[in-house]
Amino acid sequence: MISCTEFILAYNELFKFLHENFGKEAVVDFWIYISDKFLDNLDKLVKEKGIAGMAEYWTHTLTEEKAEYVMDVRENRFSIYMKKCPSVSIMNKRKVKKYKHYCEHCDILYRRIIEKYGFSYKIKFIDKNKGKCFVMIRKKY
Amino acid sequence: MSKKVIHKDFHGALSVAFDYILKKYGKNILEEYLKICARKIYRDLIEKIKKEGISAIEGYWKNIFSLEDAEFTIEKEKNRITLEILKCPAIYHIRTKGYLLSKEFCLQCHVINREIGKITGFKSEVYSEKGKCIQIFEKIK
Repeated sequence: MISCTEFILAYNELFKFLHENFGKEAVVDFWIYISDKFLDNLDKLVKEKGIAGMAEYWTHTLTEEKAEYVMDVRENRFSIYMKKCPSVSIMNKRKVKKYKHYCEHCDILYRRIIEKYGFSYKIKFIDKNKGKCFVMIRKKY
Repeated sequence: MSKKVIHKDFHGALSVAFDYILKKYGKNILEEYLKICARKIYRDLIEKIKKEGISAIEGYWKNIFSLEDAEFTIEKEKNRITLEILKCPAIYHIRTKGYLLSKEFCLQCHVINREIGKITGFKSEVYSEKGKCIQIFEKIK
């Protein structure tokens, strides 16, 4: 059994495998599928609670994944400053070759859900090697 | 001692990923990907098995399945080690959370164990059914 502690490594290998055999488009198609078929819980939380739902979702996942981050939750905006991405940390620690577009999955997976409910979604990759990024979500008027 | 928190939802994501590969590319491609996982993710374990033999498998299983809160037993003999999983933690979590359970979810244990065995000189057998399984590694003389 691939343990959930090894999942990030399996995920990374899948991205590389799809890219090498079927091109980047196949990786993007896969990310879209995961967003649509697996992130129902995030979709439901954002649909029902808006920004409070985002805070609930990411507090749960990032705590379990032991991320180092700063979350800022306000009435009409939500941001996460990721100081140490747990996925990138695992790959760095295990000295595995990270898929060159690895960080992009966080853009595609979440943007599809967030924008659907009247929010803008921006992600700035500060340092992909160290796993630093900044996500800003704003309510559209 | 406090229990280590792990993000078990990753099992659900992996199951959805398997289902996607199976439907879009077929079982052979899923197997190819899992063979890569065996060689890349379990690189350190493979080296340890080459040096320490069965004890390395025992140590790995005890660590992972304790961490994942599985119900399991391990029987170690001179040239053979048997793991019996009475409640697979991955399948249990997937069912509890209502995630999609790929019909080929257990293929990971069959292919990964076989690949690890092939590289380290062990014959591998896996018998799985409904969230229970028996996994065996036997030293090839």
